[in-house]
Amino acid sequence: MKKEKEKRRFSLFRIGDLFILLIVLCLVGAVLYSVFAPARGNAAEVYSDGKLIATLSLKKNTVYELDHMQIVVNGGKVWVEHADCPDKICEKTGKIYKKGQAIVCLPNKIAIRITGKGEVEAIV
Amino acid sequence: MKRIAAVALLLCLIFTCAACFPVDKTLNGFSMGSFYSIDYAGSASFGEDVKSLLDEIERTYSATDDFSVISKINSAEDGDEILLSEAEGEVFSRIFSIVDGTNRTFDPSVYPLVCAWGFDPPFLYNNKTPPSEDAIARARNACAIYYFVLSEDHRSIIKLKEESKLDFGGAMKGYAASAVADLIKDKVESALVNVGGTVAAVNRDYSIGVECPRDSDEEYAFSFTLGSGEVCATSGDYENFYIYNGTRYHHIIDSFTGNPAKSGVISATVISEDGLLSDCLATAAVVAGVEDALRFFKAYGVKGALITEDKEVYAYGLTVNIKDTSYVLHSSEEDQ
Repeated sequence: MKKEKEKRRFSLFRIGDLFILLIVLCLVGAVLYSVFAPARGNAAEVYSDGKLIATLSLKKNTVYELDHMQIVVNGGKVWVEHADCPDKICEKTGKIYKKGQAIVCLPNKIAIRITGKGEVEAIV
Repeated sequence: MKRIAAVALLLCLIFTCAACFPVDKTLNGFSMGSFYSIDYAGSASFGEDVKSLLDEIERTYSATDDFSVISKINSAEDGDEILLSEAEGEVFSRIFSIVDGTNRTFDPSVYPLVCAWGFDPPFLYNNKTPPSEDAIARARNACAIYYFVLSEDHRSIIKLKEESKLDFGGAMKGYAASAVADLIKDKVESALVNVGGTVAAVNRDYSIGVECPRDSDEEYAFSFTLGSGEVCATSGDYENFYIYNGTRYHHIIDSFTGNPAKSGVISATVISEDGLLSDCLATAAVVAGVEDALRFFKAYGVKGALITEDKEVYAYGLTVNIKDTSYVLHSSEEDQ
């Protein structure tokens, strides 16, 4: 009789607990993700041979032409559309938009890095 | 059984939870001679629909697409009549009425001059030289909207001068931004549509910065709030231009002088619920200058902001926050 009572209480407790625990975990996970996921950057710095030659706002859609390279900013992302280097690694890197991401073209000595903070949602 | 129910309930909760954190997405593409992007929150997919809508607008109204109605008109001879669909007729009548309403400071018939100056698409920066006086005078002869006569029912247009040509480039980005906004507004929670720099806010307000017309360390000159349902267009002498012998030649041609506009306005932003109107008035403002531009804004009931050569900012019906302090807000704004 005693045992049965304990058993029931235990199983009741288990379902309720599991329930709340998982909801809490799910919420914590979501909050952690939103805090620690790499933030979107706001600007792309373009370096040539280590020297900063341009800062492109990621909120301003534009096509930036260099001698050996065409850089496109569109929809908050930046990428190399064309480059005349042999390996095309910079083109293959694809679209970057998170703080700290970079595209590097060794043959042309060009580097593009995402940085910055901004206050508006688009620049026209 | 209870356990299954509990798990099912839990899964439901997790999915509800996930929906509470909508991830912002971006759609990119290329159409109408420029890049477009849509930043949106929501889960529907509409990329194909947007692309085909924009391509359709380009096929119909582009001056460089051989099969567009504009190309048909541009290649027509004296006295030819070109038939228009109902939708085309509406676009033509709206644009022609804005040409009248802005005293031809917005004028799509300026295309021969645009070509003479080397600004016909695709515009490339390399080694441009301004045209000779002769070439300008010749092109100017063909530039007049009254060489195109729209029929009363808007279903046909008669061309009176063979050399005359139209270009709706100054209007169609706004038209397209509005069309895309209409297409997706029931499918997204919110979205910012950007077609070549003309932007439409869908289902919520967005903060927008306007680019500095001259070199600056700041990211933008000033910002403002673009209300839900509004479309904002910006025109300026800093977008497509070339420098020859120290002089800046830009793409907005004044059909009265035949030269790039020199009205003192170097950047004009217009906000209304009609993208086509915003786009046309932004171009008109750069040609017309401060006084006339503010008069047009009032007549059309739109909001706007102008930046002059002297780095003054004129706001009409709009609250602007100056970011680059080398620009000064002109004080007596709404008494024009």
